[in-house]
Amino acid sequence: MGINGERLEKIPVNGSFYIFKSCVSSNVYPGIEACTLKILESLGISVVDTDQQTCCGGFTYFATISPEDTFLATIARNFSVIEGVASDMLVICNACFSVLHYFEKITEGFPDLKVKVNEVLSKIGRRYEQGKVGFWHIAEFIYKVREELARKIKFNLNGLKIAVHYGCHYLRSCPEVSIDSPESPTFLEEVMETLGGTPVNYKEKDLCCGSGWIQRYTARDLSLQITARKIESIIKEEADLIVVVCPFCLSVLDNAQIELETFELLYSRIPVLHITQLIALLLGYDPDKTLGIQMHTTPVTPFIEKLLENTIE
Amino acid sequence: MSDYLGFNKQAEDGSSWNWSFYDKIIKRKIFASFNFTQCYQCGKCVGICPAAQHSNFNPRLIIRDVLFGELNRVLDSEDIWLCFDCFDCKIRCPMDLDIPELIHSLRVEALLHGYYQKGLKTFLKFGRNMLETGTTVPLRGRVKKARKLLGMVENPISEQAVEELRVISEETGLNKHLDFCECLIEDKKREKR
Repeated sequence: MGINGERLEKIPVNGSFYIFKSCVSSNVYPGIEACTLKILESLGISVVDTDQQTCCGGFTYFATISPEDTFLATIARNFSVIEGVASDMLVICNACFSVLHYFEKITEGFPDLKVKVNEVLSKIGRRYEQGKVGFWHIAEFIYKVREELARKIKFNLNGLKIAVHYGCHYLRSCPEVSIDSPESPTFLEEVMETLGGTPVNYKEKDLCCGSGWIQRYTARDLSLQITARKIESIIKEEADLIVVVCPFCLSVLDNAQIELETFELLYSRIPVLHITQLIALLLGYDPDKTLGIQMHTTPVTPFIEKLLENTIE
Repeated sequence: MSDYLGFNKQAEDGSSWNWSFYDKIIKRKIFASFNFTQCYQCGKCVGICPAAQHSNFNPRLIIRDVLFGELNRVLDSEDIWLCFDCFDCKIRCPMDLDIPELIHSLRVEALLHGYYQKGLKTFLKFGRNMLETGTTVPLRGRVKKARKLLGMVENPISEQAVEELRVISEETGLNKHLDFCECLIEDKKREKR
């Protein structure tokens, strides 16, 4: 199938964006949001903000702890908040992206749901209208501006092997709006090549990170087995870094390594970065003050040391 | 426990299919990907499934049970809680069936009928946190410090937003649902004693 040219064409690269806040990004790895801001700043793109957005509500809904009506009304409220400040938003989390897409699909298919959410929103003096805000995944945005970023970076990825992980709730759960083939995507590998790196082709590329939405909490053993398989197959290819596009995948792949070591399911470790963190790092931003690598449990410094040899004059 | 909802009656057309359970579970029938009668039991979903490779989880058998109305067997089994929601099965299904969505519907149904769910206590905390702060993941001290260093505001969600969420939640039954989950947990505790 390859790259979806029509979708790529539509991704806006000027004007102003709202960055949709994700719970894991905001409250576990704040560096992801900070890096996104720096990337946009370096491209000369303005960002608007509001303190009215809440969590997307996806996690609670898919963990069956929240009724569908609450879930739909929460998303509708967020859309109505954002349409007041921007016409396009960038989403830094697969789950948020998937949830926003799911909402649009469901309300388009069942117009009575739209009436229902608006009835709820009227209690707080808000209204939702479909199609007022466009939302784009940060990964596809980066793919579109990759050449420009390659001209701006201060370090390149020459000689470094990168394993990319697409995550489940992006291409596979949203084939209707995916930029690349959901079965065998390659656009992130292309980004890594543009930045000078060598993407590795590993056996378990399609495998889930092990989070499984709830399995990290309900079936820890099962979850760890999957994560072990994933990381092992990456280490086997002697990769220097895992790049993800979802904060939850980052959280699992980063945190599970220490657990896997304890259970003797893993014998060496590999740093994990969100794609925005990697690019901000290449642009020359500070690992502590912008990337927030102090929040990672698997040290990122081994990768940064390798990168320091790749300064572009 | 068997057939206490009366779903296990034979279908009116005399076949072994049971539409009453199917109709209850598959709500969004207009999407072709939710038409599970199209399943021809090829088992591709099982072959690709990460959970199936490490446990007894078997999406093919779950679909069969739904079509045959084996309500108790499906809802009472731990298996429905093992799906990774990874969508590998969906993109490989020859009929493009949305199996993760089916599993989610089954989970909701199981919870509403009082079948206990492992991990409910943890999720309840997330739900309460959502209601109190507007976000699922609680903001801890270490992260507050990091956010400050990164030049970000301590809490990106305003009090007004949380208040609006509270109104929405009251209106749509989140509070009631959380209380219901709490009761389930209490019941389980009593059972253990």
